[in-house]
Amino acid sequence: MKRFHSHRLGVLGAAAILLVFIIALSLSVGSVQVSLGKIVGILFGKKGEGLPVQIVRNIRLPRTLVGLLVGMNLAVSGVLLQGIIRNPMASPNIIGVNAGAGLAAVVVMALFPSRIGFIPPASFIGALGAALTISALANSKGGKRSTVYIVLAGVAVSNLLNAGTSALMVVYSDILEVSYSWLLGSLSGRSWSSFALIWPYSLAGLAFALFLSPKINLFSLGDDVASSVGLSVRLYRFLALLLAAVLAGSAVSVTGTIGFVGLIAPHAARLLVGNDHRYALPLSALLGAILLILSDTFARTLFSPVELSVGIITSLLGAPFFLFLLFRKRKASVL
Amino acid sequence: MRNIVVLFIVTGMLVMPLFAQGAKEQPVRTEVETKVVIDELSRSVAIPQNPQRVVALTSAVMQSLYNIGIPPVGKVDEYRVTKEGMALPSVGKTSAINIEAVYALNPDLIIASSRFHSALKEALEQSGAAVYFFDPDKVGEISVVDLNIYLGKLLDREKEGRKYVESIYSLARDLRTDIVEPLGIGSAVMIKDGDTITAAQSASSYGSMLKLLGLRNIVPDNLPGSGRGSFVKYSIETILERHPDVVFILASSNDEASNRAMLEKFRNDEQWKHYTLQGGRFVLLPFLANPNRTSVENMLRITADALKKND
Repeated sequence: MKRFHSHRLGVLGAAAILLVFIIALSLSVGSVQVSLGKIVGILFGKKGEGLPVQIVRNIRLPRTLVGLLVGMNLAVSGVLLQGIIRNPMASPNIIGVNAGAGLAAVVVMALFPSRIGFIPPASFIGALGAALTISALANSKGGKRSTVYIVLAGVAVSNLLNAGTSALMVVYSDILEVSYSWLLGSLSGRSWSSFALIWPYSLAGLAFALFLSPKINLFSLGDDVASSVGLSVRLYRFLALLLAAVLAGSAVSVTGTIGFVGLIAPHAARLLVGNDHRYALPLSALLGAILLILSDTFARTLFSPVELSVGIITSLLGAPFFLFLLFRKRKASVL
Repeated sequence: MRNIVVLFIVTGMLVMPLFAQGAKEQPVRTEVETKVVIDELSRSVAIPQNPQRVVALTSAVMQSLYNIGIPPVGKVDEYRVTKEGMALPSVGKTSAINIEAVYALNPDLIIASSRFHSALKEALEQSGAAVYFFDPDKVGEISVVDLNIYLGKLLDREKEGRKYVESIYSLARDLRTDIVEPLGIGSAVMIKDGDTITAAQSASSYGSMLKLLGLRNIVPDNLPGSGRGSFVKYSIETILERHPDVVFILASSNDEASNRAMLEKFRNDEQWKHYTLQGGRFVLLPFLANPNRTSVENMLRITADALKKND
C-alpha cells in the first residue's frame, strides 16, 4: 500500500517536472528565435526593452500561463464530472458548457458586434446557465437515476443550444469566419488581460476541487452506499457540478471551446494513478496543462507564422497518447 | 384494408396538385445562341450569347455584373452595395442558397462559386439554366478587380470590364500619389478585431486594397497551411518582428464609441507595446469598408482616408 502511495507521488512528481520542461519549451520556441539563456535572463531579473524582451514577457509568458490554467481547469472539470456521474465519457461538454458558451459568444458576435469585448463574460454566463439548467432538469427527477438524467438532459440541452448557434451562424453569415474560429478555440493573442480574467477562478476552483476530492471518491460506491456512509449525495453532486461548470466556463470564456482535454486528461491520470481522486485530480490538472501547452506550442510553430487551431492538435496529440496508455494498461492486466 | 385505400386516395389527391403546379411552373425555353466554354470545374457549359436573366450566387460577382453592364435578376443576402441590387429578390445567402428561389427567378445563366456551390451542381443544372462555376482563386492576381475582366471575357463584355478595371487602377494611382506616398507608408497588415490575431492575405478583398495602394502586405501569399484563404491566424511575434508601418484593424461594427475603445485597447495592450513604442501606427478601417457593403472604388477611398485621418 505504502509502495503504491510512493508510486503515485512519483508519477505526480514526474508530471510536475514534465510540465516545467513543457513550459520552458513553450517559452523558448516561436516565430522569432530567442535563445534559452536570454529567456532565463529576461524572466529572472534582467530588466530591459527590445523585441525579445517584449515577446517573452508580454506574448509567450502570458499565453503559456493562460494555457496552463485553461488546461488545468478543463481537466479538473472533466475529472469531477466523470467522478460524480460515474460515466467515463463525461467531459465539460456533457453539462452543456461548450454549447452554452458557444451560443452566448455567437449571440454577442451576431447581435452586438460593437460589444465584442463582452464575449468572455457572456460566454461564462452562457456556460454556467447551461450547466445549471441541466442540473435543475436532472434534479427535478431526483432519486437514484439523477446521474442518468444529467447525461440525458446534457445531450438534449447541448443539442438545442448548438442548433441555436448553427441557426445564428447561418442567418448572420458575416460572422461565420469569426465564430468558427472562436468555436475551434485558440490561445492566439491571449495576453495578461486574459490571465487576469481566469486566474481567480482557477486558483479558487482548483483548491476547492482538491478539498472535494475525497468526497468524489465516495460516488464510485453508488448513491446508496455513499449516502449510508454519511455523504450528502445531492449536495456534493451539485457542488461538484457547479465547480466543474465554473472551471470549464472560465476556461472557455477566455479561449473559446477546446475539446478533448477535459475527456482525455482524467482518463490518462486514472490509468497512471488509479481511481483515488486525491491523486487523480491533481495529476489530471498537470496532464491537462501539459497537453494544452504542448498542443499550443505545436499549433503556433508547425506552420509558423501561420497558427493552427489548438483543438486540432490536442486531438492529434492526445488520442495516440491515450491509446498508448490504454494498450499498456490492458497488456499489464493480461500479464 | 379500407383505411389503407382511403389513405392512398387522400394522399394522391393531396400530392397531385403539387405535381400539376410543378409542371405548370416549368420554364418554357426557346432556342438561343450559345457559346461553349470550360468552367473551373472542367465542365463544358453552353452559355447564352446574350444572357437576359443572370443570377450570381456571390456578392462580388453580383457587383461585377453591374460593373460590366449586365444587371443580375436576383441577389444574395450579403449584398449591400447598391440600392438597386438590394431591392432584387433574394436567393438566400452565399453559403446557404435557396434552390427554389433560384428556380423562381427563371434564370438563363447562373454564376456559382466552386468554393461554395459545388455540392449544388445538379440542383442548379436542373433549373434549365446554364450553370458556370468560377474559382475565386483563379480569377486573377487581384481577384476583386480582375473578376470584372474575367466575367467580361465570359459574357462578351471584356471592353466594359477592362474599362472598369482601368478606372480602379487610375483611382488607386491617384490615392497612392496624393495620400499614401506623402505619409511615407510602405508596409501594412490588416487584422480583425478580437483576441485572436487573424490577418488578411492578399487574395482577400481587404488584402487587395493594400496591393492597390502600393503597400506591402507583411502577410505573404500561399503560406503553408493557409493556401489562398482570405484570412489566416497569424503570429503576433512575426508581425512585431516585421514591424509594418501600419496595422489596420477591421472594425466589426458601426458604433463609433466602441470602435474608439477598441482602438485604444490595441494601443494600450502590452502585447503591442513594443510596436507602439517603435512608432507603429494603428488605423481603424471603418465598418463600411467591406466588399459586401461598398464598391471597390469606395473601399479604396475609405482605406486611404483612414490613413489620412490617422495622420
